[in-house]
Amino acid sequence: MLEELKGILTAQAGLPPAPITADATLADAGIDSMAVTVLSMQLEDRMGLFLTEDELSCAPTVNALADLIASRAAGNP
Amino acid sequence: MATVPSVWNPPEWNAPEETREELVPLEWRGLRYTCRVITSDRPPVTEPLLLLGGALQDMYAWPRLERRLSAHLPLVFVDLPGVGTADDLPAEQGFDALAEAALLVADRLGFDRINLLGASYGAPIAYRAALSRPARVARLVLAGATHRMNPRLVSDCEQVWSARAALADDVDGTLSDSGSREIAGRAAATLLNTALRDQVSQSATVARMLHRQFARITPAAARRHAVCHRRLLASDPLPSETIDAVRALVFTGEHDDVSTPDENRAVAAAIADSTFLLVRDADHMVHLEREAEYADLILRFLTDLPLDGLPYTTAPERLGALR
Repeated sequence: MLEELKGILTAQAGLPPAPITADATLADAGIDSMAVTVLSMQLEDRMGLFLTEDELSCAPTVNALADLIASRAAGNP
Repeated sequence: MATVPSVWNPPEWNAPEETREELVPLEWRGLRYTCRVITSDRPPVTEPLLLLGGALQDMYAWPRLERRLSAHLPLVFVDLPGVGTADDLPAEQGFDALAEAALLVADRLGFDRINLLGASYGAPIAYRAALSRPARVARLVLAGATHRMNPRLVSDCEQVWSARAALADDVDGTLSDSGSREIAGRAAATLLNTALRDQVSQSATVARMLHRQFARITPAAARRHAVCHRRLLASDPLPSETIDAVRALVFTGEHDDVSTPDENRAVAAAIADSTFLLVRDADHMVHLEREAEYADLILRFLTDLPLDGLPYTTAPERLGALR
């Protein structure tokens, strides 16, 4: 999921790839409110996942964000 | 004149660890406010840039521009009185007062000359600052500027924010979901060209982001926004005096219906040494819709590079007296 997340953030949200590392905080990875909005919309469009911007923003790191998305995709609440 | 190649690269993001941030407390006529100064280890390629944003933007509202430009020049973001962390600006104080407070930032930081960017509500502040002390302003950038706002539009905005300020249906000022959605929808619609959204880059994303931002505005912030818009109604944002001694770039999105292309063009015509152009596929929210292009355009102008032939703008127009 990490690579897929990185793909959305770089291709759709316009972020540069280098700072998006597994241990980076969302701020250090450059994941701003615009990127979170893009991510929420893309998850809904591509995967039918409904994760709000607030839920996504709570993840402490990029890896935790990927885990959150993977967990929701696996059907966990 | 040299033109840019059709393939262009926007300014690269600077890593946060490459920059330093300093918060500087300021005071103007008893009002406390703060600026953020972002510097890097690299030698600056031009004078520091002081950014004066829109009515709804505080000094943290430009994260992408900050990352793209901070490697090239010192950046100064400010919460002028009435915005963000600053004290309230009394409603009777106008744009000249804000221009004084803005110039005090440069004085306090010891900058002899600055580049000045005024976007939307910040445009009249920047224009008045350049008019009053042209020798201090190396270059002036105005984005989304107009001599006179559409009174109906400003009145709509004022009513939205006054309604939000009054609609605190709980002790802590939170609204019902439907109440916040309605306010946010009305507020976002005033800033976006909804009729041409299919021709605006990132329009759905920007609309959703603004909607979310506006839905959580507190009554206190809404009250401030209402005051800002009453200030726009009280007098014309830009004075009729022309600027003769400062180089300027005036631009907006080609589909801007808040400050229209013709209104921006008229502002450029009032500045002797000005360049005017429009960013394609964008409206008044051009800094969000085409952020990479926005950063590229500003950096080019601030470093005296040619603006001819850019694939994301219309052809530059020289409308002032110096043609």
